[in-house]
Order: sequence, then C-alpha cells, then structure tokens
Amino acid sequence: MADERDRRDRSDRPALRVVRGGASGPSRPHSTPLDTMTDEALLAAFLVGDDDAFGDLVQRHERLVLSLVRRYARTPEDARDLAQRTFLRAFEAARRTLRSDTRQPFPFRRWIIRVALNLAKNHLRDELRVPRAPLEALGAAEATPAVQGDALEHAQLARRMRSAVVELPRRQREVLTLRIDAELPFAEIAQSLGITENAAKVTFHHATRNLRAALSEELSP
Amino acid sequence: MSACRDLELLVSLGAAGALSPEESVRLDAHLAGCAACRADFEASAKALGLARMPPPSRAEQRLVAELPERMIEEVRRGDRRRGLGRRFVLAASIAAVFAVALLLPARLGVREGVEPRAVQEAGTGGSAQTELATAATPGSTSTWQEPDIDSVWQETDLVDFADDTDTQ
Repeated sequence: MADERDRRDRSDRPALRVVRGGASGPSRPHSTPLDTMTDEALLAAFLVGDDDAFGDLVQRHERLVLSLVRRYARTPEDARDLAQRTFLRAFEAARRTLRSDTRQPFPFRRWIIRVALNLAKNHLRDELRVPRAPLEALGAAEATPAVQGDALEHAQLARRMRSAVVELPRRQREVLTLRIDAELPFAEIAQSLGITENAAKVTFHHATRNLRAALSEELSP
Repeated sequence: MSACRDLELLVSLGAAGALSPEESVRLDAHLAGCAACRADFEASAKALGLARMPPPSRAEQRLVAELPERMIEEVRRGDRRRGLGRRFVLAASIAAVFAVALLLPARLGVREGVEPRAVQEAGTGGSAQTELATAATPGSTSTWQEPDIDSVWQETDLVDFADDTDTQ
C-alpha cells in the first residue's frame, strides 16, 4: 500500500541532479529502468558510481522512513536529519554486506525500518534527558492553521494523544507506529520486529487499549 | 472493556482498518447487533485517529525532496574522507618502517657493548669535563681512578675553623 503510494509520488517529482564527481561509469545497463531494479541492484550500481541509482533507492523508501521518525522530531529539519541518518546507517550495513559477499541477499527495507525505530528510540531518550519545548506536531503552525472552538479542543486532544503514544512501552509504540504511521500490514510489521504476526496484532490491541485508558475521560461519549 | 471478550482483538484491528474482507464481514455482522461492541469500536477508532500524525507540512515535503541529493553528497564525502584516511595511514606506516630501519641498528649496537663516543674520548685523554661525564656514565667504571686522599685533605684544609669559633 505504502509502496504504491511512494511510486505515485515519485512520478510527480523532478528528476534527480547527478552530483559531480560521483558517477565514474554506470554498471547498470541503460535499458534497465530504475523502478524495476531491486534494492540490492540499486545499491550495487551506486557503489560503482551510479548516483541516480542511490537517489532512486532513497526516494523509494523516504516516505516510509519519514513516517517513522517524524513523530519523534521537533522540527522538519530534525525529521530530515533523522531520516538521513537512517539511510546512511542502513547503507553502510548494506555496503559491508555487499563487499563481504555480493551474492548474499539483504533485506534493505527491513533494515531501514529497524534502524529508523532504533534511532527514534535513542532520539526520544535524548530528548527526555534534555527537555525542550513541548512536543508539537511538525510544522504545526503551517499544517494546521489557527483553530478555534471545537477544532482547538480536538487539536489539543490530538497533541495529548500523540504524547501518550510516545509514552507507550517500546514494543507497543513500535507496532502502533508501524501500523498507523507507516501503514504497514501486520505481516510486515511482524517480520520487521522479528515476532509472529499474531503477537504483533495482540501488541497493537494492547497499545490501543493503553491509549484509550490514557485519555479515558476525553474519549468517553 | 468490550462486552464480548472473544471479539476484543477483532474490534481493535477493525478500528485500525487491518482486517481481511472475511473478518470485516464477521465484525460488521456482530457490531450491527451489539451496542457495547459498537461503542468500543468507535472509541478505539477515535483514539487511533487522534494518535495519527498530521500529514507532512509543506516545509517537511520540501526538506524531504532534498534528501536524495544530500544523501549522495554525504556518502561521496565520506568515501573521499575514507580515501584520505587510508592514504594517511599508508604514509604513516611507511614512515614508521623507515624510522625503525634507521633506529634499530643503533640500538642493537649499544646492547652489543659498543661504547658511546664520550667514553672513548675520555679513555684517550679528553678534557676534565669529559672525564666528569664519563664518571657519571654507567658502564664506564674501568676508566675511573680513585682520588688521592692526602691531596683531597689538603684542599679542604684551607677553611679556617678557628676564626668561626672566635666570632661566636
């Protein structure tokens, strides 16, 4: 679901500018469209100098990564930096794997999910250690214009609920955000976290219950 | 919370829109006849709706659009840095090998009993300063001569102790 949406979005974007000094000779046949290449093939092409291949790889997964990290970011720049660090770490791991054994397959998408969740967890820990401004939605002033009355009340409730999400136990938070932010199916959530699909569903159920309990008064009809 | 405990999980998953078509049909049929579960479903759906992040702002979209280019620059910069680092390590290794090659024979010579140049000069009649240096050098005891005790006494005898006692 998320993949299809990513592909649609990519078609609307301008073409990538090739960075000077990067391309020293593409190994990818010119007839092979980047969209049909696997993550491994794109990385291999980038390692021999094809910058477009890596640009396409980042575009392929950027929405997923951003959806996972932006909940923990204070500013859009913060979110972008977290996303960039996620890609860089996953890329370094993939590069090491490719260098050690080019035939060994690696689940790049699963790696970036794991890296994004770990970075988000560390970022959250650091933020709690050094408290800053209250958790605001990213670009809230721009995304949600000035609101009044019921809309204001709803916005405040949403903010409190997002704070409650951050305070959930780690596993519950991960499953919940993978579902409601990244919109991943439970089978993929389970695979990414190394648990069974049923365990992922039960964890999600507990997370939902905990969120409801956190705002029980406000949510009661 | 739910009236029907065996359907709690289904209600939560349904509120998240994560049910298969068959499961959805089953849940809808139940919700149609169970007000408690319907209320439960609505509360879960409301909680999840509030927990969702708002859509990305224009600022976020703009910054994310820069991501591929920034990433490529970052990776290439890292590669260049690593290349420089490797060259530096190689140069330092070569310099270390040369240094060892130059210093090792000199150190081996000392261990085998080759005397330092100062000792050799003292042995062949060098200056008094050289002799002092020689006396302080470990391993040069063979060239040290015991001073004559009478001449040492005569030199110390120049001090007049009698004058000191008078003044006191």
